[in-house]
Amino acid sequence: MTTPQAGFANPFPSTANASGQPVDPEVAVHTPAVTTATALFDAFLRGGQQGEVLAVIGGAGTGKTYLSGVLRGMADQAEPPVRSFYAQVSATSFHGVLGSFVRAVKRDESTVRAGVRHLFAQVVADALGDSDLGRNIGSQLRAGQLDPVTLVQRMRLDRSAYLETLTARLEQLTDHPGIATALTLLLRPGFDHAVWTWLAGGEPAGVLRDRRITAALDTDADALQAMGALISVVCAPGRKLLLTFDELERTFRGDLPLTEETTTALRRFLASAVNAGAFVVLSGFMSFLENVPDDVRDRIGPTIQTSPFQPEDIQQLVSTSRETVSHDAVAPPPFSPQVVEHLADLTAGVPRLIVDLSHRLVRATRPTTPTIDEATIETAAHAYVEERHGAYFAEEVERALTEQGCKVVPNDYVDESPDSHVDFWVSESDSGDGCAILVAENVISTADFNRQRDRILTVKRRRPTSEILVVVKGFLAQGAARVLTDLTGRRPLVAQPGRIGRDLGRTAKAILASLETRDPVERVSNQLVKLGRDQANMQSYVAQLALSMNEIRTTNERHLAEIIDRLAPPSPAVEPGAPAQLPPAVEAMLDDALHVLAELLGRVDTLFTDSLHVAPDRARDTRMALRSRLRQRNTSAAAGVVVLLQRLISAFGAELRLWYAQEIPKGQAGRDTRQLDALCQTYSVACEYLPLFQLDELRHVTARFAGDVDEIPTERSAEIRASELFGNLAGRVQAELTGPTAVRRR
Amino acid sequence: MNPFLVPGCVNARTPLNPGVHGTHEDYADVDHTERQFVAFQEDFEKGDGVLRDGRLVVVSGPYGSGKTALVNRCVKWLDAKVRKGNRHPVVVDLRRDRLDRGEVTKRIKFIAGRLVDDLRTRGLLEIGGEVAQRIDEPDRMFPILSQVLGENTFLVILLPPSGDLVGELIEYARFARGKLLFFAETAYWGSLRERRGEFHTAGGAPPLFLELGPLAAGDGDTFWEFRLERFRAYGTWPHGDGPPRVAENKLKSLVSQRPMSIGELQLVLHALWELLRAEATQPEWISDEHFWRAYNMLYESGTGDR
Repeated sequence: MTTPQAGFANPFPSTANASGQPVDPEVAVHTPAVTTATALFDAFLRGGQQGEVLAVIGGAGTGKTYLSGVLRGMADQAEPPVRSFYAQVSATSFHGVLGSFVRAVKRDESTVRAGVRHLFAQVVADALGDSDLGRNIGSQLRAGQLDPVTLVQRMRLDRSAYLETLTARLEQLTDHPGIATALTLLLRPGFDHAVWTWLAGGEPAGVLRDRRITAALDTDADALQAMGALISVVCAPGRKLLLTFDELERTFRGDLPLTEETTTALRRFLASAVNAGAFVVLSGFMSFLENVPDDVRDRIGPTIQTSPFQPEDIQQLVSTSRETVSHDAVAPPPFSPQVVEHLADLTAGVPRLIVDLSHRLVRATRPTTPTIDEATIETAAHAYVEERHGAYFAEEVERALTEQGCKVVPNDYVDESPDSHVDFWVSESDSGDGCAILVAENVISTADFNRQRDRILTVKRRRPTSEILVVVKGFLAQGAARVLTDLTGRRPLVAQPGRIGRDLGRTAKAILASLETRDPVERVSNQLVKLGRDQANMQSYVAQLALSMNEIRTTNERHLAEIIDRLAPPSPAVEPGAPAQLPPAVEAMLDDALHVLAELLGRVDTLFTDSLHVAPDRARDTRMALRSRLRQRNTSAAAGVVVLLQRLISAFGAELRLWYAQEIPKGQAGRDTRQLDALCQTYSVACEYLPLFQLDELRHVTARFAGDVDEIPTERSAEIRASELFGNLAGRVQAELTGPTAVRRR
Repeated sequence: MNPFLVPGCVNARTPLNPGVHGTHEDYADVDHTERQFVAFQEDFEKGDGVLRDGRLVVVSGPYGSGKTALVNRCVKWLDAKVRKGNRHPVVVDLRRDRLDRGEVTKRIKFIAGRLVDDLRTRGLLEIGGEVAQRIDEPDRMFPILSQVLGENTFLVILLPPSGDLVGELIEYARFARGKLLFFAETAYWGSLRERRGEFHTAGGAPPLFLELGPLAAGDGDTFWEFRLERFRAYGTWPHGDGPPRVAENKLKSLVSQRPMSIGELQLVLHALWELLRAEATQPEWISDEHFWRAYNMLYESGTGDR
C-alpha cells in the first residue's frame, strides 16, 4: 500500500479500491453506512449458520465498493476466516453476472471441491450407517477426519451408487440436473476444466454432453441456479461466506424488467444463499432497488445508503492512513482543514477520487513541508489528469465520437479569438447545428472557471443555436459545476478513466438526436427562453467568488436574510381583498414548486409514522435504518432548505400577484417590466444561496425501507431538476409574463 | 494358505478368471452370479442365432459385485462351447485400456483402433485394408469388419468399463452384428435401468443384460463355508485344528446391515484371516473386535486400493 515518494511513505494507493479488494477494518473510515454494515456483519459472524441479504445503495463513488471492501477485510480477519467473493456486474442480466461470479469463486476453487467432498462424505456416512463395520467411521466422515474418496476406494465400497446419490442430493439442492451432475464430476480427476468452463456460461464440452449436459447455462434462471448451487456447496461444511454483487443498477433496470422466471429464480437464489449461511450484499445505485420486484424485495433484509464523504470523514481517512505508515517510514504531513474542505468540494465526497487525489497530494509535497496546503492541490490534480488520461485522451474521444456516427471536427475555432477554441465540433451532417465539446483539464480555481465561462459565451455568441458540452478531464469544483450547468443547460461531463469514450459518445449522440428532432422554430424559441434564463441567472456568477473568497460567505448570509425579509408575505391589513390571480401557467409553476416541497415534507411525516407503526419483528431493522438516515448530516439542513424555499416561493408569488394587479399606465404598451426584473432577480439571488442539491438528500432519507423508493433519479439528474424547478423558476415566470403569449394576452 | 485368495491370484481383489487362475468351481453361488451365468448359457444355447446376429452383453452391478469375474466365466464357457462346433472364437481383451476422461466418440475410435491393431497382429486383418482405413468411422468399420472375418471366425471383444457413460453402451449395442460379440460392464446400474429402452431402439441385435446385486442375507455364510471347505481340503491352520469359529448369524448380520458386495466381503475376510493367523493366542470365537480390527487394518494398509 505504501509508496515512498519525496521522502514520505505514501499511505494512499495510487489507484483507489475500485475492485472490492479487502480493506483493513482497523483503518477503515467509519461513515454511518460503514458502521451500520459492519455491525450487521459482525452479528452474522457471531451468529449461527443463518445468512442475511443486505442492500447497499448510493450514488456513483459514494463508497459502496469501499464498504464491501471493509466487510471483506472483516471476513479475512474472522476466526475461522470467512471466504468472500466480490463480483462486479458488467452486464445487464444475471447470465452476464455468472461469468464474473464463477471466475471469483474459481480463484478459490478448493472451497468448492471441499464442499462437494463434504457432501459426498455425508452420503457415504449415511450408507455405512451404524453397521458393525462402519462403527465410528460415520462420525469421522461427518467431522471431515476421513477422506470419503479414499475410504470408498480402499474398502471397495459402492462408489457409483454413492455418486448417484450425491448427484440426486445436489439436484434437490440446485433444482437443476445438469448442475448436479457437473458438481459431482468435480470429485473425479480430469473434469475440472470442462465443468468450470460450463458453469461460467460456456458451451458444454464433449465429456459433459456425454453425460447429458447438452446446453450452456444461457438464461438468467440457469445462472441464478448455478450461483445458488455453488454457494450451497461452499457453505455445506458449515462455512460462512460473504458475497457481494456490485453495480446491480445494470441488471435491475426500469426499461428491462425481470421476467417471471428470473424473478422466481432470484427469490430462490436469495433464499438458498441465506439458508446456506451466506451474507449477500446487493449493491448499486438507488435505481437498482427501485426496480427489484416486490417478492424479491421481501427477501432483502436491511438497506443501507452510502453518502459522499464529509470533510470530517476525509479528515479521519487522512489520519488513519497516516497512522498506517507512521511506524515504518516518514509519515506525510497532515492535511490542512482548508485542503480537506477543498478535497471534499472537488471530489464531491467520492471516496475513490479522494484517495486518488490524496495520493498525488502526498507525492507533490516537499519533504520539509509541515502541512499539506491548498497550493499543492493544483499540482496534484494536474498529475492526476496526466496519469489517468495520458496523451491519448483526444484520440480516444475522437474515435468514440466517430464510432457513434458523428461528424467530428477537432480543434475548431468559431471566430479568431483564443476563447473561440472548440476541442471537438460534432454534428450529424455538414449542414445544420451541432454540439461544441469544450475540454477542460481541471476547473478548480477562479481562473479555470473564467476561462471556461468565456469559451462558452464565445460559442453562444457565434453559434447561438448550437449545443455546448463541457468535458472536464480531472476535477470540477462544485460551485463551478452549478454555474457551468446553468450556462450550458447541461451538467459538465467529468471524464471517468476508461469510460470517457463510451460516456461521451452516448452523450453526444443524445444531444445530436435532440437537435435532429427539434423543430427549427421551436429551437429558436427555446434559445430565446434559454437566453432569458441565462439573463435571470447572471447573478449566479457571484458563485465564482465563493471559489476563492470564503470570507464572503458571512456577508452573503446576511444578504440572504435581508432578501427574505424583503420578500416576507404582505400583511393582509395593508392589502385588503384577495390579490389578482396570475396567468394560469404562472400559477401552475408556483403551485408545482410548492407541491413538490409539500410532498417532500409529507414524506418526512410518512417516514416517522411508518417507523412508529412497524410490526415488532421488523422494529429492530426499522430503528437501525431510521437511525442511519437521521444521522446523515445533511438531513436537517435539507429539511431547513425545504422550509426556506416554501417561504421564499410564497413571498415571491404574493409579490408577483401585486405587480400583476397593477393597472397598465395609459400610453404604455404594458406593465412596468423593470419592477418584474428586479423581483425575479432578487428571487434568483436568494435561490442561488440555498443549497438546492440537498433536497435530493431529503428524498433519499425519506425513501421507505428497501421498498417504495419512487422515482428516485440519479443525483445528477435530481440536482439538475431542482435547479430547473426552483433555481430557474424566476426565469420561467419572467418568460411567461413577458414572452410572446403574454403579449397576446394584453 | 488363505482361502480368501484364489490360487494364483496376487491379491484378494483380483477377479476370478478361469483358465488363468482358478476354475469354474471357484465361483461361490452368491449375489445372483449363478443365476446370471445360467441366463447367459441359456441365451447362447439357443443355437447359432446369437453368433449370426451378434450381441452386446452388458453386465451391471455395484462395485465389487463380481462383474469382471462373471464376464471371464462367460467367455471361458463360450470359448469351450463353440470350439466344439468348429467355430474359431477370437477374444480381444481391451479392458485394461483406461479411458475414464475422454469423450464417447473418441473412446470408441480409440477402441476401434486398438481392435484393428490386435487383429492385424494376429494376422486376421490385412495391413492397410478397408477396415483399417475406417477406424475413424466406427459406424462403417464394424459392419465391414463383420463381413471380412472368416466364415467360422467370430470376435469376442471385452470392452473397458464404461463408468457412467451409458450412452457409450448404447453405441456398442448399435455396432453389434454378425460375428461381433461385445462384453461390457458398468457399475452405474441405476442409470442403466433408466435408459434400457434406448438400447432397444438403437438398432443392432438386442442386448443381453446380466445384473448382479449386493449380497443376500445368507450369502455371507455361503461364502465362508464355501471357501473354508476348500481350506479344509488343502490347507492347515498353524495354531492347531482349525481357525476360530464365526458366531452364528454374525455374517448374516454383517451383510444385512447395509448393502455389501462380494468383493468387499472377500477383502474383509482375507484381512481377518491374516489377522487371526498372526494372533499368538487363538480365541475360540471370532469377535466383533476382530472384524473391526481387520477392517481398520485394511484401511490403514491400503491393500484394497484399486
